Amino acid sequence: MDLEQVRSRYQEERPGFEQLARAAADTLRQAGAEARVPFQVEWRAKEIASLLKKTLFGSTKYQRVIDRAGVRIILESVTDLCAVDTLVARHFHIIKKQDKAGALDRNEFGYGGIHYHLEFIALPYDHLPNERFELQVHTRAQALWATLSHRIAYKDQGVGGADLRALHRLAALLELADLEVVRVRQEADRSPRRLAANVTALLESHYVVVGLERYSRETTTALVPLLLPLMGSNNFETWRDDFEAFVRQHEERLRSIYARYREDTRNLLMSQPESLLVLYSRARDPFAFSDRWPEQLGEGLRDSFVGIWPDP
Amino acid sequence: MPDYTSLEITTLIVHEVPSRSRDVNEVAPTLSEAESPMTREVRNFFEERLRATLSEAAFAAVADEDTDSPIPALVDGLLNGDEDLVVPSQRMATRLFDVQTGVNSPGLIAVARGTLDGRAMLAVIKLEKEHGVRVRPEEIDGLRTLSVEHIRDLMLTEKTRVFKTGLFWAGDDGTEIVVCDYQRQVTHTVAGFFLRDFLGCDLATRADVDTRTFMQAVEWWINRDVESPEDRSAYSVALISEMNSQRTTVTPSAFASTHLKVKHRKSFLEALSAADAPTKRFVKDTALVESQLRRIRYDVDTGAAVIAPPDTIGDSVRVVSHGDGRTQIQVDGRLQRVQGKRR
Repeated sequence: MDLEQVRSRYQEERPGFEQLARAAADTLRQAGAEARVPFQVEWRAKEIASLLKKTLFGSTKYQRVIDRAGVRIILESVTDLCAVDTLVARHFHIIKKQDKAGALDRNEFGYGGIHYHLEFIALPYDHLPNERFELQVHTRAQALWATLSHRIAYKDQGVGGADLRALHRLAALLELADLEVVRVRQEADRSPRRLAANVTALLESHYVVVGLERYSRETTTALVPLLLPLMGSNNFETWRDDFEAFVRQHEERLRSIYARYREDTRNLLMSQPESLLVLYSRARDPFAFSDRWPEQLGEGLRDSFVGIWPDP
Repeated sequence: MPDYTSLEITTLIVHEVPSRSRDVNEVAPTLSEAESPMTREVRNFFEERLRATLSEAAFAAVADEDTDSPIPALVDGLLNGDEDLVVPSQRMATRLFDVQTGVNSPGLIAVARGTLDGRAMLAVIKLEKEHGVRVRPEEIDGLRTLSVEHIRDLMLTEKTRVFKTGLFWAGDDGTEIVVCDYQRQVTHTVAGFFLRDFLGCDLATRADVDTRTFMQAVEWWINRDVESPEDRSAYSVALISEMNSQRTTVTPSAFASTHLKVKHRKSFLEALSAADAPTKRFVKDTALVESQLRRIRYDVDTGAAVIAPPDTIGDSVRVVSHGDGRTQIQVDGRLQRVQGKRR
């Protein structure tokens, strides 16, 4: 194809790539919300001029320009990379995956991020082109550096050596910033108030599914801090995964238990979301449960839970 | 052992069994003539108590073929289709009253019907209540029974914590039985009058074999899963101390809670289970392990060994970890004899 043929064909096909990029972005946004992984999603179809430049100066043929449809995920923290990878694999065929930072030498700082070449496992709409597209996953710091370097070094061919050095110095600083984000977020999650708030929100979200719809929010606010030792961990994110695995594994049993305690006022906690934390603790380690049970709540209540979830 | 999580009660009847006095004619059981009204609270209460106590302290039992107790036959009838719970349970209450003596506590007998693992189940429970707690019968359709209010009173008090249970369910090869005599902080076997005279049963397992299996499994676990030399030594001493104690039963979970660090307790019970050793309370008989209870032996990788009486550990024999994988065993005392090892 000569340049005019490429331009003409892409002009015709570009709306389809726009729809493809938008559909991929929507899919990722929804999956991220369901999995509670915080990130932003951007999408675009490649500009015609940019595509022409790529096919004119490079040896890339039209069909091999994968980023005709492009999606970018911008993460809060590098710790969410693994969760994003899981989401991607759930909805798309991964044709290629490249860790750009991993390709740098140990004494080199520069472009970081994960690049995927993807195809939908199942197209959400019939009329979408069944084409490959590119997904870039960046942290905010990586995204900032990528934008800046694109503007300075990629587009302005006349950039000087001092500017390039400044750019790479900035990459090193932004890598530090990413690590600081991880540390600050972990510290914040470990503060008792934040931990209690996170745990409460998680318990409530599951309780309305397997338990009862109505409960006393005031009681939950008062009791969750008291029951936090039953988590057996201060790392909310790690614990959340284990707690949710527990709920998934025992969903039917939990529904059955809560149905039986709907009209039972003896055990005050069973009509509250925090009972899920107690049952989790009983199930995971009965000894640790007994050891960590708050004395203020009394042996009678503790023994009731032993009867509700007996030793295996 | 069955999965007690699946235990559910559908019907319940409660009778009062007073204490026997010298003049038998003056007292008699107060027999209910109708099933007790059962709210969700009452049902949950009995289910919780049964699950908690049986999962910790039940012994497998078998019916005694030579027994004169009517209970095995009554249970068989109820598990195999007899619909009426009232008359068979009255006969059970009467039997309990007959076999009790003046030293047995007065109380209530509750007979509960339901399911376990989806199969027909019958629980015979003796609740021992404190003297002076009066039973208030009420009438339903002209039939005497215990009031829900009274049962709720029992549920809310600590006075009913002590109770004995026989649990029967339809197994693949006939009626399966477990028995339990639950008292907090106390480990003991099932009272003879309840197990043999009343239920017409006997314990099913060999205590000496259970004890040996338990001890072997614990020693295996100590040497495989416990890293710290000090912990290994302390746990070995605790094991021998438990075996040498005057208690007639061992409750593995209580042993773990008393002697092991929290981080070790779960893996301890898992190791018992993996080794097919008892994980629930069992009767202790040290006949097969007697020789192992007199000395503890420490072997180190250099080929040296130290053998010491358990009561010297921590005193004249000390185990010290150096943190680099090496362990020092210090022995204080006057050297009396040195000799080559004899077979």
